[in-house]
Amino acid sequence: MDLDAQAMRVLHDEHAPALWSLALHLTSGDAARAQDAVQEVLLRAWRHPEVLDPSRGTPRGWLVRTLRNLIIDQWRASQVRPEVLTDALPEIPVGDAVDAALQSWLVSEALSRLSDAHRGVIVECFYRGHTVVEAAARLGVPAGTVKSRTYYALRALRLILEEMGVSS
Amino acid sequence: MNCPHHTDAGAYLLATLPPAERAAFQAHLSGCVECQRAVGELAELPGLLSRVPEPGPTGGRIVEPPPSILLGLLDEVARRRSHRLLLTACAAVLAVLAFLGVAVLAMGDDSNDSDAVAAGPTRTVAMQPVVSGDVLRASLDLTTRPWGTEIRLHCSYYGHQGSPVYVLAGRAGAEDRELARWSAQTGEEVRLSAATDVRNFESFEIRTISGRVLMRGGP
Repeated sequence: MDLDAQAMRVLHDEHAPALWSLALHLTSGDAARAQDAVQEVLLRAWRHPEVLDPSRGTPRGWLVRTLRNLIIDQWRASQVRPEVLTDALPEIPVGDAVDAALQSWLVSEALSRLSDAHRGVIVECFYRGHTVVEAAARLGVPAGTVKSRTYYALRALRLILEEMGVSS
Repeated sequence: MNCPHHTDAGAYLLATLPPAERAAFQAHLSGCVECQRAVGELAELPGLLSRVPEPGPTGGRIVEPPPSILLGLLDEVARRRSHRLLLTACAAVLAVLAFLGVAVLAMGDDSNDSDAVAAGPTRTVAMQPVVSGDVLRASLDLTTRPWGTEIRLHCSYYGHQGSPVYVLAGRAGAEDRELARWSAQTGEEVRLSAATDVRNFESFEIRTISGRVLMRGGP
């Protein structure tokens, strides 16, 4: 019985799929860099289990923030060459680009976790620009249902995003 | 929420209410704290939604990680674990060396290099458990030397939590002497050496740091 390996396995099974998908997205599909970053994040969580203590915020939030920082650091390290060692490191653009990619990935991921009914009403009303009445006809439900469902869909989305570490 | 209008907040924010309803909700909003809160809590979402394209019927953006990720992690865990065991063993050796330092100082200079010449026979002492439960197994090899006794301890651990500190003590007449002190982890085996100027031990004990006797044995 090896508790250390067991703990690592549990961490991996619970978080690696989301972290791997996110890391691929943030590195524009660079599997080697994505793998380095995911392994480092999970290793840190394994060595310091207290970071995933629910009283310190959502576990996924810590993992996502750490992954983001590692990927930005990786990128900066790869840019540092002796001949350009000046104060001209493109710090802000990199962080912004990664953050934009991070946020869009998280929103897509959150949308995918909504129930079909909740996602359907957001697609109709937001992405396709239908009014409540049009959406009601397309979805085959009363207009009042579309309104309340939109409200609960947005609340559900907000909860999922919070759980994933997106502060709102 | 008690106000029946608060569920309009979503459609209001996504700008899909018919114009008349939108105007009515807006007028209501200025005087209703509940609806203001409902709108406020969701106000950030349209901006977030606009960052991504329309989602497909299912999510499916999660990609299964390659097995090399888990394998690499388990390798790393094993590597760190053996590193940690090595550190524990080093700590045990240091504890013994610290003890030996004291013993050598007590001996003085005259017997420094005579031990190999005059070693007596080695006896093995099997330590017997005093408490119930199979916590550890241990045996001692005792070799009489001109300067006293050389002790080699072989110990295996089972089923305890954390890394408790153990003490090996020997009793000779009225004297109860601590001979070695070390810490260990479950599943580990430790071999360590100790030395003392006492030759005629009546019994040995392995104790916890708090003094509870776990094993006892005599020559």
